[in-house]
Amino acid sequence: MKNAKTEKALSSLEWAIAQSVVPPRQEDEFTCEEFLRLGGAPSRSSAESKLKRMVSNGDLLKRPFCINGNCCMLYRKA
Amino acid sequence: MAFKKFLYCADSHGDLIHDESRKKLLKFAEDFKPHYRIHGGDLWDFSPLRGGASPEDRAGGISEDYNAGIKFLDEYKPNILTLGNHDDRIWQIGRDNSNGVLREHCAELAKQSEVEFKKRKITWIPYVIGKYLRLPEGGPKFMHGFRSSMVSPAKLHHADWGSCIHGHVHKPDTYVATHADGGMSMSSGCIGDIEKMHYADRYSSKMGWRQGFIYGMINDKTGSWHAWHVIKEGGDWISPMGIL
Repeated sequence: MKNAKTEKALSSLEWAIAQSVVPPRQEDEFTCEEFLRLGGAPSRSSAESKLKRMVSNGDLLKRPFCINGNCCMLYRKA
Repeated sequence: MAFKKFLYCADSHGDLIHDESRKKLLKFAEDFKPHYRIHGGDLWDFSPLRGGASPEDRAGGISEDYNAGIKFLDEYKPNILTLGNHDDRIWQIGRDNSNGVLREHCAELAKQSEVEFKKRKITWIPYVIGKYLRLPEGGPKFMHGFRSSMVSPAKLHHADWGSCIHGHVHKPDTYVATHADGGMSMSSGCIGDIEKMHYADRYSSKMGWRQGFIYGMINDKTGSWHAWHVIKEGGDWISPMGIL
């Protein structure tokens, strides 16, 4: 038997988890890995710096996302 | 000289508990009448709080999982609890997650969980490397376990902690030390339902997992001890005492 404060903490956390649900991946979003595979850059490091530059120039938007438990960034055109 | 008895189980994983294992353990406890009952951690599963949890995982919520963990505490009545990596999620997120709302609510549930342990007079430790609990008579160190290798997990834990009993790997294993001082370490089977732990469905290590628990005796003068596995193999629960 739990106490009332535990019950309240549990339901509050349920709410917080529900609020933290990340929107699913959209069709126009891509990862650095995919950008590299499609020939966007010659190497992983240059793909990363190219994408970083495009984000800072405002050409791309990015957001964190998890694919099969691995965290990565998703990019899309701004 | 007298011996005291102890019973160790681990990895019940909240609402993923294996009902048959739960019943076998509780019946064994009733007959064996241990002086000490130890839960070796992963009392809860907390899969929605796993790093990289899918929206489906998160949608599942944690109430059923949490309530099942508390129910099992009330049934098994452990004196000792060594929290595991799954339990630790609410403490860890409550301490350092970048999502402030989630952090605050996890911290509150972690705090209330500590109140629940205290109410039940459970001596507990967080999931921190180097922390362990022992019986007043001495004997093995009790902990959840940190190494995840399936090759001789008891030997690996023995190398870091000396004589110990741990869970975490879900694989029953025993290592008898080849040392002048002797010693032994044991990895316990699990009380959680192996079939329901889908996160490991693609790992060959899962084939070494077994439902099970450990019981033992300790000399209350010298602290010398011995323990034995109870393992479900095929459809039978096998222990050195016979088929349960």
